Amino acid sequence: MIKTVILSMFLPILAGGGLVALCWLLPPLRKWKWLSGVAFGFGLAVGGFASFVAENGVPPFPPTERKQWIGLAAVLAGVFAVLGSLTGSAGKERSWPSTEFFAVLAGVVVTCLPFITHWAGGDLQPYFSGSGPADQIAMGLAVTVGFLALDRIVEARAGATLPLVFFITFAGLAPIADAASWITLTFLFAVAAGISLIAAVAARFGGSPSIGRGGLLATVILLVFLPTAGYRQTYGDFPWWAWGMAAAAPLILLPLEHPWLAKLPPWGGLTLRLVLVAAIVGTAVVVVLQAGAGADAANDYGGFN
Amino acid sequence: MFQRRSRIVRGLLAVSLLGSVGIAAGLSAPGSNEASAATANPTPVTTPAAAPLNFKLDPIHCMALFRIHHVGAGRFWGMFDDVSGTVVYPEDGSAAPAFDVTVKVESVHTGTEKLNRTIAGPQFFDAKEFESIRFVSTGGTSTGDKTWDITGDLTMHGVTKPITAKVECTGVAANPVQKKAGFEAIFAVKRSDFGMNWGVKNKALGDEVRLVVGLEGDWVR
Repeated sequence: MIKTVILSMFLPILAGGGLVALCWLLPPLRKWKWLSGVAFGFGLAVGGFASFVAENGVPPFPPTERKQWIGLAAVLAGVFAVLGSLTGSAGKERSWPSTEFFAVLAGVVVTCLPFITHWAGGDLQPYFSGSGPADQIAMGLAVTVGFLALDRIVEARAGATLPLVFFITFAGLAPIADAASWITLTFLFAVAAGISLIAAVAARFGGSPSIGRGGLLATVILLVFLPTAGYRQTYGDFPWWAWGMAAAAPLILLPLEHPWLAKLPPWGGLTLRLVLVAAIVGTAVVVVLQAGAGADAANDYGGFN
Repeated sequence: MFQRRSRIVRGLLAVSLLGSVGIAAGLSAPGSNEASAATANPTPVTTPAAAPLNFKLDPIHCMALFRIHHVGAGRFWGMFDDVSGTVVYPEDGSAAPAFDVTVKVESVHTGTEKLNRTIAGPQFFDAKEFESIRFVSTGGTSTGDKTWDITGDLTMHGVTKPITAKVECTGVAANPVQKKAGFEAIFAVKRSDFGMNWGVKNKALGDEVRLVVGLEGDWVR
């Protein structure tokens, strides 16, 4: 078991987090703004893919099983970490229409990827069991809208804020995936949380770099793909909306950009943001764990009627 | 007087001769073949084989138990409750039974809800994508009194592989109303052969899974 944890969690965290830390802390690399903007998203992708490979082997393309999509989602996140950063270096104003173009492109690719895999020789089937074209369109829309909505926050909140917010989000999704009994997905969320935490520390001591649009786009892709996979492929006996509630928690940052709240001191603003995100994610986790605890108790005492 | 007596004797001889011919002809009449053949030829009597009967599996009395090694330590058991299908079998055991058995993966039962979800989930059977396990026999060889090595195709986790199971007919019970036949199959598979690789390399969970399948079918007239 320890070997599994090392291979599927600690080493991927070291690989992805190390990549981010190097790009954000080493002076020669820090000066290269484009690289700085790619690092977070690419680090998440590398760590996520490494974790999936350690558990399940290299996923083929086209995938032969639906669960392989979560490994391929990490690859997709890596590609869009690079493409997203082309819309402008971190800290720069949104360059219209390139940001919108890549937002729409990411949404279209997410929507159409099953058709693309069919064109590449795979079976024509939706991403996950019980899903259909409506789910694919919803996932594509979530990527486009989520990226465009949070884009202004990437500009406004450079430094440790966003990595910490994503750390809380991914760290909350890990016990939800565990409650749904999908070990690979649990490790993937734990790895993403670990990399986000390392990124937050690196940002604190690295001159507050931004995660960049590439980092945001990669994160949004993972936050759309992975919880959808968890909801569709597992047998969690908790409300389905717990997945969405935890994954969408970072959107609470949007109203917190109101000018009134902008007057808060930096530590106060950071604390407020983290507490609110943690409250939403924490509520989702409590709902899931309570539902699971009820089922286990029923199983212990009522399972042999 | 003498001539008259000799005519009577000749008449009696003729009657007795005709009677002998009649008796001989009677012995060779239809219905007497088997007795004469038995007397003439000492080969054993063979009764015709019973016709194969169709049995529909009774889900209440069917189950598939599995056993697997955990972290190289203990072996734990689990069970699939939902087993359905058909068996074709001559009740005298003169031919190997033919099976078409389907097991619903979601019916997995280990006594722990979380473990049930893990086994049915994407880490192992991925039951939302691969809903059932199916075994269709392709042949069988007798190994003893109502025991066979049954070969067939096992489809599990989207992969089909040939396997051989040791099968015993545990009994055929009949009454005027119904007839039931019971079977027990024991076999082993490597789950990695079916694409279920999690935990094999690091020995978190054993690769070989032993199965004991208990089947009971109702005769379908």
